[in-house]
Amino acid sequence: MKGEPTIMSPRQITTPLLFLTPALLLLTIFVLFPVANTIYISLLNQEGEFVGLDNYAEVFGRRDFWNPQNLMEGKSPPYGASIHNGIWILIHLPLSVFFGLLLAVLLREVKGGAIIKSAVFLGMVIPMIVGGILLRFIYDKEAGILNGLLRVVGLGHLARTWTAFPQTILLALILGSVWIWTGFCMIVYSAGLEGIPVDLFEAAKIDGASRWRIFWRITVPMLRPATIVVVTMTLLWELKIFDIVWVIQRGGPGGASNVMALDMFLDAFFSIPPNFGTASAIATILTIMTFGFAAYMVNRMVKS
Amino acid sequence: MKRNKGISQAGWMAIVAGLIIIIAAMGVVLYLTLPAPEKPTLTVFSLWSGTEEENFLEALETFEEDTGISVRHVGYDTLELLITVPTQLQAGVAIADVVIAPWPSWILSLAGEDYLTNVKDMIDTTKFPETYLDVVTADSAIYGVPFKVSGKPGFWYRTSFFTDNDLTVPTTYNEFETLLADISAIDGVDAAIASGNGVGWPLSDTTEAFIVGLGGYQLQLDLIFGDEQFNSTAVKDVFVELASLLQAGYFSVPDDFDAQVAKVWDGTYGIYFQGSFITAFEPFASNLDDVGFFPLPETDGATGAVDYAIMPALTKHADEAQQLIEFLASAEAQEIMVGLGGFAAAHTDVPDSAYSSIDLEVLQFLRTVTIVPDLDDAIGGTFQTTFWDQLKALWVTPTMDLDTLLQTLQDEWSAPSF
Amino acid sequence: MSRLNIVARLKKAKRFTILTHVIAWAVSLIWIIPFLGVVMASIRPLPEILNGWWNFEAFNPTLRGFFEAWNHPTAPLSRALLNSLIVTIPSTFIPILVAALGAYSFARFKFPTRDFLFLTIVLLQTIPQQMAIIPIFNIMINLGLWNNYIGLILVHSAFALPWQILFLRNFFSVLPVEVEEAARIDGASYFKIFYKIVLPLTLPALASLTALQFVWVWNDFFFAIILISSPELKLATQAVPVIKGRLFIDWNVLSAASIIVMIIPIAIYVALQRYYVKGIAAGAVKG
Repeated sequence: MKGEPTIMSPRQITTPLLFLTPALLLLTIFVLFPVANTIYISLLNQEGEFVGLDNYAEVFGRRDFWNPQNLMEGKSPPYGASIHNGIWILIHLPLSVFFGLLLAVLLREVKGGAIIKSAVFLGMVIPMIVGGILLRFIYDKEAGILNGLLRVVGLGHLARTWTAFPQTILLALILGSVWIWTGFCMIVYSAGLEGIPVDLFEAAKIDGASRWRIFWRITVPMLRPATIVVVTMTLLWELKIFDIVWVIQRGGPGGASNVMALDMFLDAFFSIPPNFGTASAIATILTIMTFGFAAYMVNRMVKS
Repeated sequence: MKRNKGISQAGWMAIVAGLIIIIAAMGVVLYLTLPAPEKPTLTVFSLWSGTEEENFLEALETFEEDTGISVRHVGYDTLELLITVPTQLQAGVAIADVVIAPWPSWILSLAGEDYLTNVKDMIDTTKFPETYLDVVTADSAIYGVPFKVSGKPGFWYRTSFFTDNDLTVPTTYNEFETLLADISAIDGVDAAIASGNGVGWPLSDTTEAFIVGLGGYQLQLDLIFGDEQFNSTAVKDVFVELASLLQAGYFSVPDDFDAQVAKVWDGTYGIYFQGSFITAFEPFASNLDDVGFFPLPETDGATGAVDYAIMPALTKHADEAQQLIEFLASAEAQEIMVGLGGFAAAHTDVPDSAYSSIDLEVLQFLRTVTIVPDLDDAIGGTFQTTFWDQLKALWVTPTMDLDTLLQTLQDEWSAPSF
Repeated sequence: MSRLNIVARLKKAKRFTILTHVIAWAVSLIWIIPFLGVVMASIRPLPEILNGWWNFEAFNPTLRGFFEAWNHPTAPLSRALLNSLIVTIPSTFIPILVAALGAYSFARFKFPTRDFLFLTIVLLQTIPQQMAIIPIFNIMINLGLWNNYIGLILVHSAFALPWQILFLRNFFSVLPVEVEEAARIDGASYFKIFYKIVLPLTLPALASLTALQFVWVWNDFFFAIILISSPELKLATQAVPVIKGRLFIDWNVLSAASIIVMIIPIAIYVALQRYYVKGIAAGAVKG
């Protein structure tokens, strides 16, 4: 951190403590302790006895959490919640990042770019529950515009409610979530682009570099901090997906849109008696999957 | 923020302030204008909405008049109810004083956590069919009061069609097979049995009738709870028989389940396996005198659902809730529900006169057999969609390999959620 | 460079500009269509919607959908909106105050464990709700705050602190410290300095936090369904799935409900857009 003025630093510890206490209190009770507790609970069984990693093993033995067979045999989903999240990441991450970057770059030079950016970002401002409704609407057999489009180009026989079938619901949701999330990537990249000193571009143009070269040699590397943020946050979002899946088909049909957040929710609040152990295990697995990226990103943020 | 034109910082702060004021004002207006949520004494949760809910509210009106206890009803989606109730009880707060649900094993698991009150002394156990009470009994305590009954009794037909063609209702399985052959021989008949379409539930309903009819109701229960494998001999025998009927061409091509009613009516098909709600569909609905059904002969069970009223132990209004339970268990309340049509009452004292004659027939039949849960509804999940898909395949290709089919079903089985 | 070369390059630049404009406007169309659809569906009767809201042969706008959503028997949006306001407004202002206090001490004071504490707090911003919800559920039950707005507000406030503290600390770090030093020399207490001098200067940052936090809390669903259960306490986001129903969807009512629920965060975003975007750009990573 920057050099602190010594006059402003109180000599005793009470003042800093006073300033920090409300925050520390709230954070400890409602964030820190729960996180530690969740890890602890994940090591207990339903009777409260310590069972080590049994819950984790059990969770991976469940077909609604981990079902690679279907995938490897080329059958339709369900492949298990964890694999669904994995597929979500594989498709959603590159697409969102790509479109986010593309839009950020393009819209800088377009008249009315600011308005378009606002429109694209709107998907991030609405509740995800409503986002799910919008997607369900688009994919509806009669009322949905996707099928309307298919009919217009003569492919009307393909029309169906895309979210009603296990074969298509996952992909439909993933692509829909790209529509929702791209705005975030775009905004972060936009801010990143503005942070690049203009002289770099000027110098390159004078040297006769083509647009492509400028993009790959200057823009992308300078956007590295933004990319770290974008990738980490997108990853985190993809793993936390719940609302969209819930409102459209509650994880169905037949578990074809099940995701880890939903799986743990059902373990905790649908099972009688509640299965907090496995639910906590799933939550921990979910968090671990981002932890590396998260720590790296946070480290950079704090240093800057 | 490239140029400095536009609104100044002070201007923006004014906008922010204005926005905050508007939203706060909105909040205040809403607060003042919305009527305070009523605080009725009792809260009832159930799965009902639409007409079913209206019917229930009518019955509740009688209760409120008689006892002066105010009751509010909240209808839920299946999964919502399955989550809301355990969560509340786990949290130690009973927001619902009475819950009405059709899942006996769910009720028993709630009872297992000591969440429910024993209602044995609140009802007259002699007035209910034993089979309805058994499934909600544990350690000689009864946890649910049977309220409404709906079922899938058997094959529906137009009675005049039978009389016109000299057909008789079969009482043995052999007679049933003869009947199928006879119907097929009639001019203008495409197939003896209509097959319904939808996502697949009509085929699964029909199949389960055979599982229960040929294998016994216990077989269905065992399959649901994993005490029996799908690839066992008992189950295979059922499917072999079903496949042979399919191969003989006795089943029609699946089509819209409600459209099939008209085809049964005009003689394209002879009989149709369906739930009792089918009587609400035309042309059955307007011609109930000419409608009949018969169960698969020699069956000892029927898939169906009994709605049970349960009482969380944590309710803050135990006395009033008990009064409501007693009311729901009474013939009086159940008669009101029945009078509004479509379902049967569990209470044996409800007079026959309360029913349309066809509803009465269904009820009387349902009392003579054990009601078992619907197989795919109970197991749910991927099993259900696989079950439907496999049956659709079987209907189209009755010569398919049954061992593979049954193994697929077995692979998809998972413990029922409730 | 020859003149031909320059002309060719200019032509290429022009083509490029046209291309970018076409792509940009095509993109904006694609992105706006779903919203257009739901707005259309909210004012048109169901049969027209099922025929395709993009068809305009029959066009009979009606506000029936809004009335029915507002007064829905199981999940009236009138009440749901009020409930959401009751939760969101405190959940927005409480953490801002708490975070400002905390961030100020990280920025201005030197004390042992400061850096470690700060890093830990910032790391917490990547914790997903799922990682904390089960213990939170149990804590609320023990505190008697389950199914109680106070519990929900506390949780939202706590979860806001990590990113808000980071954001504000960075903001404070670049605030020139001379005025505060002068006030200190004059003998003012730290609290007074914070309250009278620093806070007023922080308003733009607070505006960012207000915008982001309000939208985040309003849009939350996960905490809401686990911590709030009574039908009359349900929040706006909880009302929407109820209105959707399961088998038969009345798109008119559902669209109207969706619009009612999303108009508030959209309004906040539009009005405070500058601050909202600043917040995200500064890495206030509430995605």
